Amino acid sequence: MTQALSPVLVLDRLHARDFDGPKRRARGRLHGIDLSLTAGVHVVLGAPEDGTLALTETVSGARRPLRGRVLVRGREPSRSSAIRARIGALTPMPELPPAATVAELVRIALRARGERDDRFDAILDPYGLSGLHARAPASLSHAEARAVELALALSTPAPVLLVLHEPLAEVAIAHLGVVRERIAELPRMGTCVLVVTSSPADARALADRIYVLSHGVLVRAAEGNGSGLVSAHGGELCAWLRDPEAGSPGVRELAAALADRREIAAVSWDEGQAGAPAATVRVRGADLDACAVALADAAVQAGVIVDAIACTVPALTQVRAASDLAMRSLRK
Amino acid sequence: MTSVPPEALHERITQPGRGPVSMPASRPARPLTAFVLGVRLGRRQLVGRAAARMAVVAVALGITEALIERWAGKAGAVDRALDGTFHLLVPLLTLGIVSQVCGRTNLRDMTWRAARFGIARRDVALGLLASAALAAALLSALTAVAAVLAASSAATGPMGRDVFQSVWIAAVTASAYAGWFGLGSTFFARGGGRWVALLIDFVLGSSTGLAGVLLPRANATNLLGGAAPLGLGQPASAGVLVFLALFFGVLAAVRCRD
Repeated sequence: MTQALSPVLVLDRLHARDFDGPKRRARGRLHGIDLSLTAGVHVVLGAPEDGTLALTETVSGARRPLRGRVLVRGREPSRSSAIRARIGALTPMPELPPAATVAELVRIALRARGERDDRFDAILDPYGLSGLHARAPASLSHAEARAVELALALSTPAPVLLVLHEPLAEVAIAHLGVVRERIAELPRMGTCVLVVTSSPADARALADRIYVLSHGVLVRAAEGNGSGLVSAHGGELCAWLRDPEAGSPGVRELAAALADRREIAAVSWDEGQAGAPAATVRVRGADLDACAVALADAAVQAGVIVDAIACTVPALTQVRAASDLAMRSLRK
Repeated sequence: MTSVPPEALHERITQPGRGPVSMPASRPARPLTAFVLGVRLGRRQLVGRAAARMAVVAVALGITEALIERWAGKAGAVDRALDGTFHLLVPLLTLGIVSQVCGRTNLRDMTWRAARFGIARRDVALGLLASAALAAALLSALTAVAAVLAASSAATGPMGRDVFQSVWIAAVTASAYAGWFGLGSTFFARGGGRWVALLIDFVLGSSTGLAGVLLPRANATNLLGGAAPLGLGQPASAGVLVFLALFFGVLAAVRCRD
């Protein structure tokens, strides 16, 4: 129990850079990040220019920090091979050992991890990668190579930390649900899963907690549902309406009813067109639960049938804009 | 896009009891296992067209050079051919092999491919350099033998001894160069230090002073019957070459350590 609550990953004033720009220039940098993560799925949301590549490389142990420290269970992954054996990593550019076939590649990885190498099929098959066994690694597409790397990362023996860069994008795994389930399952074993992504939708699908990385600094943290991503005080809901029969009230009436509600800060709507998706209403407010109740009340009041209500996922640009705004107000 | 056939996906994914698993923590691989993995990775890097091309070009150049020397004068043709082989072809061939084993990048970066799974970078680096040294020794010996055979004629006397001597001298010289270029490969982002190492060997390696003792070129020259650095005997130069191979290799591995 104590181990589950003690920090697994500690970033202590971490300064780092990547070498992924043209002529090995830095594409992104980290400027003195402090973070302490326990078991759970933690998502860092940001673009490579914000330093996500540098974060993945330093936390996985591929590169040493410029300054500061990365500690996984008290040991630095770039200096301790013993702790690296318990870290699984999915990197932006797959870096796998050279081998004649994918099966041999997995065998090499298993041997390096001190495992029996005859269970290589147990690594690949659960993710539908059995078709790759006999393929030459050089013939793999980028997404296939990442899929193999992801399968290896997710099968790390007694994992302490998993660092996954975009685990739901550019990965040739047909059933990503298996990946999601596996990621959700690992924290129960005391594993800290650090997902680095530029997709707010993926962040929301996976995270217990989301951290927004902007220009090399962690600027904000939000709950796993992503409700605080765009605004520090709330979020946005979208309601899909059933096509109204002729003469019955529609989206405008619902919007008018919502305009009077105190919980709602802003309303917008799209009437839809013939043959197009249904009409939608978007509402914003500080308390999303209250907004949903107000939306349901207003729908009853206006006589409109609502098919579904869901939180909208903001684009990364919106998240970054909101982060910049928050940073500016902090500076003032 | 995936090229995995959908039926294969279904077939495997629906098998009962084949869900993703985590095995209990295993004992990390021993240094010897890591070394052997390094050797295998190096060997895998060398199995390919690029390495084969290098070998063919080196042997072809060795033969061409020997034929030119023979055409220039049969007396001493073998010595002159070996001189060119050891002073130009062996270093360049070894540089190419080390470069290939390092994946045309820094040696430390190359070790990451195996070290990421929990083995020491130092041991992987040693394995990589051992495979490079072995390959360089074999190909250099082959190049030297080809040069001796091409340069030999009735006027040059029995070639058996020349072949035997050129084989072992090529092997130890190439091993020393492999260590030297391996050490160079630990410097600069893409291992550009190995080019600096080549330059240093070209500029200072022919010295008969202390610099000559510390570099492979002068010791190889001594073994071929040329000027001896610091007046060392041939057995001493052979020993120095073996020592340099081990010393530079270990130093390179230490520079790659975690």
